[in-house]
Amino acid sequence: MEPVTSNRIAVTVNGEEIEYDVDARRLLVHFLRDDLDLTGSHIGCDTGNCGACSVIVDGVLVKSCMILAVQADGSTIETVEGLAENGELNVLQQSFSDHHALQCGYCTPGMLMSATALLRQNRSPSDEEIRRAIQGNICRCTGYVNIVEAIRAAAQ
Amino acid sequence: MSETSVTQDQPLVVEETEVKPGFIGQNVPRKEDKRLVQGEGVFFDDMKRHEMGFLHFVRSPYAHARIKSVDVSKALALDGVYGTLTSD
Repeated sequence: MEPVTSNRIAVTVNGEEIEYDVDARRLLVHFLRDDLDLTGSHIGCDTGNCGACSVIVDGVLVKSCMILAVQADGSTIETVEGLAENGELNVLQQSFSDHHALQCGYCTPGMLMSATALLRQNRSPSDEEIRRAIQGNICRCTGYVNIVEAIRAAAQ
Repeated sequence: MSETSVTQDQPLVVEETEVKPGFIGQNVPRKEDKRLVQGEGVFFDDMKRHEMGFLHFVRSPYAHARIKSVDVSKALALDGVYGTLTSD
């Protein structure tokens, strides 16, 4: 029997319903970046360490380099591109900018998704909880102080 | 000679005038943040060019050997291969 190498998946990405034929071996992050051209989710390590590829799948924070695109079949995916509303930065994004929580911006999409997932569960997190929430995201520019400040301010 | 001379008896004194509004001491909002927080920054891997492909290096499977020739015919026969590059 021929092995099945391609599968049709149906996902909702940032509110848009999409059907797509993907290779069984295709990672979710490659599906998002290369097939859908949503290059906001970055690949920093490809090994699940850096968190730059973090997205929210069915409400759960996921490192998109750690699951296959076919595993996301039927799910609702949120990426950094879906955060702004009508071109207006949301509170969290604005807070990142106001508090200088980014320099090069490579880790920022992942940080934003982690923070978004946190703030949905916990409206007023402590610094400890914020740090715990972004422990899977590595930033090599700013350090984490301003990022924590930005998330704390956005929560208020 | 210059008219102003600074000696130990006559140190150079700059009068503090009115502070003008400027960038010193201010948090200056960055212009690039708006695109970066929306995932619209263009990093190298985000760029796409027409007919862009992947590069794959093939290394010798032998640790110590003399390369007499490189046969690329099988590689070229594969679907989707743009070309090969050897030292020849």
